[in-house]
Amino acid sequence: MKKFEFFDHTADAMFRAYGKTLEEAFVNAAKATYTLVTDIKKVKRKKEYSIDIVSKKKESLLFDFMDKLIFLTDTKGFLLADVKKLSIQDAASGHSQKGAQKKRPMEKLGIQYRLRAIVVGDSGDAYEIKTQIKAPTYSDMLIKEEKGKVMVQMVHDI
Amino acid sequence: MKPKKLNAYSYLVEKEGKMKVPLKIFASEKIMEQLEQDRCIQQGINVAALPGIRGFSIMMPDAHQGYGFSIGGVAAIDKKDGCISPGGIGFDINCLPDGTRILSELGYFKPIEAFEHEFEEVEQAHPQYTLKMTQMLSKLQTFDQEKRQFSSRQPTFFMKKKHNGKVVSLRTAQGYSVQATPEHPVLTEQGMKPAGELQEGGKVAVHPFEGVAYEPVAPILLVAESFFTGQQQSALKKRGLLPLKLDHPKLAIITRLFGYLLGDGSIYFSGNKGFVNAYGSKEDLLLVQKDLNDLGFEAQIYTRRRDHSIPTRYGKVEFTADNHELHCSSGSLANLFYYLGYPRGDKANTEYEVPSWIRTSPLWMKRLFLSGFFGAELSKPRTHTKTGFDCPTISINKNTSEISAGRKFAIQLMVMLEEFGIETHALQERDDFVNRHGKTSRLKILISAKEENLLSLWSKIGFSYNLKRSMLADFAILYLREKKKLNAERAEGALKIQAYRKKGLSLREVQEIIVSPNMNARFVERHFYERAGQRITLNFDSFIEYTKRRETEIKKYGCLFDEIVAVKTEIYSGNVYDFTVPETHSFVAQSIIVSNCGVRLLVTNLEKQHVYPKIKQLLDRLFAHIPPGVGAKAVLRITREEMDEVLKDGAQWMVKKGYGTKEDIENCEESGRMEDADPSLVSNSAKDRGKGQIGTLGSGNHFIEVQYVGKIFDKTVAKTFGIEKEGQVVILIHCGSRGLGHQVCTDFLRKMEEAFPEIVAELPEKDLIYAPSGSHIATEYYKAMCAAANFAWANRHMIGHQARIAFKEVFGDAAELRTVYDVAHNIAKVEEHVADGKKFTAWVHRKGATRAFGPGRKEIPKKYQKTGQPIFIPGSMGTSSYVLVGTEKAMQESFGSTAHGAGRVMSRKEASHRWRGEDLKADLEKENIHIKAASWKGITEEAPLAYKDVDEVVKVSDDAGIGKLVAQLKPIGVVKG
Repeated sequence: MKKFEFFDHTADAMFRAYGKTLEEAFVNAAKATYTLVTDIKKVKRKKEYSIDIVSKKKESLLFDFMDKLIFLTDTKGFLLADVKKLSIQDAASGHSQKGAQKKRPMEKLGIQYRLRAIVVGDSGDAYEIKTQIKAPTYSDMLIKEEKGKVMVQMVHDI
Repeated sequence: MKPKKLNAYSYLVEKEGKMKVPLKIFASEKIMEQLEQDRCIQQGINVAALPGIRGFSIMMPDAHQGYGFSIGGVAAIDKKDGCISPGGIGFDINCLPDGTRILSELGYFKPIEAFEHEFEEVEQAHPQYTLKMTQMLSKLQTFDQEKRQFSSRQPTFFMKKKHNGKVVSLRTAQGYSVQATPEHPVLTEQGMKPAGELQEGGKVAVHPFEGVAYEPVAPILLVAESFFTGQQQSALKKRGLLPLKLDHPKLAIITRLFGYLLGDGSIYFSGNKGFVNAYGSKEDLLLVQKDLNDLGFEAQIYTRRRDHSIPTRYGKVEFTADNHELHCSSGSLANLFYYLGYPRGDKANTEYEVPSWIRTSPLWMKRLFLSGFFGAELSKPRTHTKTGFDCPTISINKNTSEISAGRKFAIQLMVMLEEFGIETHALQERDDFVNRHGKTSRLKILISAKEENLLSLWSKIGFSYNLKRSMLADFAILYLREKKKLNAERAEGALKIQAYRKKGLSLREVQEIIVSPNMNARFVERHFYERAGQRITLNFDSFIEYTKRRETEIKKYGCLFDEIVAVKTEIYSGNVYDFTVPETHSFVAQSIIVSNCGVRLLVTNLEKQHVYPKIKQLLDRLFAHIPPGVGAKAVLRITREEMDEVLKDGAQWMVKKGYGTKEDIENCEESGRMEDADPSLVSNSAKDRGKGQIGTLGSGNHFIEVQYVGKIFDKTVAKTFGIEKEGQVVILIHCGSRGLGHQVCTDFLRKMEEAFPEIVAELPEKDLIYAPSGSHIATEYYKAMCAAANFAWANRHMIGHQARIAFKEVFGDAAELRTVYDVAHNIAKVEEHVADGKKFTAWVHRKGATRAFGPGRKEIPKKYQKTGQPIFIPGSMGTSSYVLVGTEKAMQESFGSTAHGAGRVMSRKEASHRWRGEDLKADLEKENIHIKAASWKGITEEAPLAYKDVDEVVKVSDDAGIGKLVAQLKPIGVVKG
């Protein structure tokens, strides 16, 4: 299965990332993003950061996840090599690993989704920077979920 | 939607669908072909549908698809804050505590918190407040400061938040009071003032009419669909008037009209047709017309001069007058009134009652019927002595044969008045003139002239469709309150005099204590010796004089004022509320301002032949001093506190710290500092991103180019700009506010999206989200954007400074670099413009468009006052760039804007497939253009052929006159991030 692919977009970088689950598609979206920035295969696994974000919609969750990564790059020089762990918790379906008792407080706070991830990579001048990503956008954003087949599409402002 | 060609350099997409203005595109035929390849024209059309947009949505020749807004788009959006005061008692209503009465246009009031339910969409928007948007059914009574009159408007937003702190309590001389948060504006003679600044003795606006409390209405069926057939049924259904139930939102207006028409109106049928007519003064009939329009019916007002001859018991009265009649020809409406109980045919000769649905409805609906009827039939407030009011009267003429029906109707009215606590005297009857049906009688209801009674009549019911009488009633209410207060004071004084006497005080001693402007020595003496009755002071204004005084006030301010007698600051803990009552929706479009990027041009005292031999060395030095800046590689380390100062003071902070020169700032848009910036509204994440990036270039299309002057088109202007001769070396810097600007954008995108889900739902693209002006978020966003713009200026300023160092390293101290100008091309600004012949203050959104102000605008530096401002249009990598000058024509054609660059035509992906970086570099070097870049890929993505032909873009600008050519600049070296 193809992990991600890029599409034509006049000014910016548009891609689709795929996965069997929403989690996998998000992981591949992160990898697609860093493929734009550098040669992701060359990035060493030296540094780890954890990410924890909540949102009302899946689209905002994807947007914020990307925004968080770009923030790490801008402030720490972080370049992503891989996503070690990524879980998405849905208040409605309660399909979290920890079961039903976790679901209540989220609902109370008006939160629908929670994403937790550990990302690994490196920083430093050793890597070629092909481009810097200015920001994620909602332009043409699409999240398509079928059973066993998830596709996310988005455009980065570069 | 096909753009229509206007001339060689512009196209127009006419207004259609949701568009509020047409779309104007500056493009040649060749450019038009390229524009049609992506979505940018559709984006221009979407922008044309934004609320508050004026004149045109504008697209520049370098346009290409962006997020929401196309890149190369300009929109001037009316900034006017529509928030005007909905007057509970004439005060403005943001942030008022629980229980504050709010008057609706329909004459009922509710506590402010009760309006919450009228707002349909509910969303938990923000931890600190609830924001709701409305299709609110009721309109509020509002005061329009500009037109200086009261009118009714629908609020669009309702806000609720917890407040734990100070509120200001105000009380006026005539006993009106309100509480408001201290910052909350209140209408005074000098305009809006924060409640916290008001002082005793000052004056605030009041609205003497109070109305009655709202009560819910049961959904009782009044007129069923089956009452109508065919065309009439569909006519009413189309307007949503069938079935008509007691709780129908439009029934309130129907009830008010019903009352007026029963007095000064008639309904008749002729064959299949029906007619609703009303009579009155022209200004009052306009109000009737407005209500009919609200129901969905057209009505015309006719004026004709007529000779009248009316037989009365005192003989024939003859006169000539202009008569105004309102005609609404609608069988369905006529029948609707008929089914609601309106009499068919001649009212004087027909039996009718106050319809039972009105008699059994809540007080506020009865009031609507009565105020309508009173607008036609209740006598005006007038005095028969200096200060004593006549009994108000209601007259009903009936044919004597129908007199018992008339009595029944009059009694029904009297019973209804009693429910408002208004007393009436016995019904009077007398013979009147003879009409074509025979003898007539006049029935007269006399309303008691007791002060309390009159106050109830005029402040609870009042007059509808009768501006003169309702104004007089307002005067009378204030007059009576004043009189009552004075009387009460004197009555109290009299009691005190008696009490002091009992305590053994002498007359002289009591006089010393009591005498005041309202109680003289004679008054004290009278009450000292006897239990005298008391009456109003002799110097108390007559109602006629009082009316004249108040009329002057109305003419001057449009509303009435009352003196503040007490201002108290209290602690309040609970909810406070806020309405936004817009006149024009306006807003800041969020998507527009992404990185406040712009261009700075510096001229040198060097020539091409001096620089060329050392170009590689120069590019290396530039690259070393101005890094692309991945991951916190700022050339200048600053603290959080210093970051706040940069955000506040922009490029000026840099000069203060010893970077760059004063001249750099003088030749910078806004002098490198936007005043409205508020660093506290920029998130810490944004600051953290910015901190690591000061003096860095970024990547993508951002670059520094070493160029020489290829050709001068306008020598005089070029000289003013410091461009002396062909061959002179210049430096062009193109970059923005980096990650900080993007973070500000992302933060507010999220805030707006959460605060205005309703707006998001309506948008063709989520990135086009906006905040209506008057909302907190709009103001906050603008202030944060100004801070980001300041960061961008500081950044380009720092880069200019670093470039100067690099030049001196290579060419020695004799090398001079002077800033020509620094222009932002990704920014929203507050500017004065003219659209549709009207001046207005706009939030001009320039998304990938350059300001192009012509000569004389106050915003541009002194140096360029005579020529117009410099404009720089960078080409793509390796192609020419251009210097243009702003024009007067741009002010009229494009809100003082022109293009900002070449504009892409090819995707980065395609470009990097098509060329190899090394080949491109070699090709450019053949043309004597050298490149220093962080990445090969970066080079290919920015390949010249991936862009529109910049020569064509500037030609369109020049032909259209929105930016005239001054000089062409040719590259010799490029530094790319």
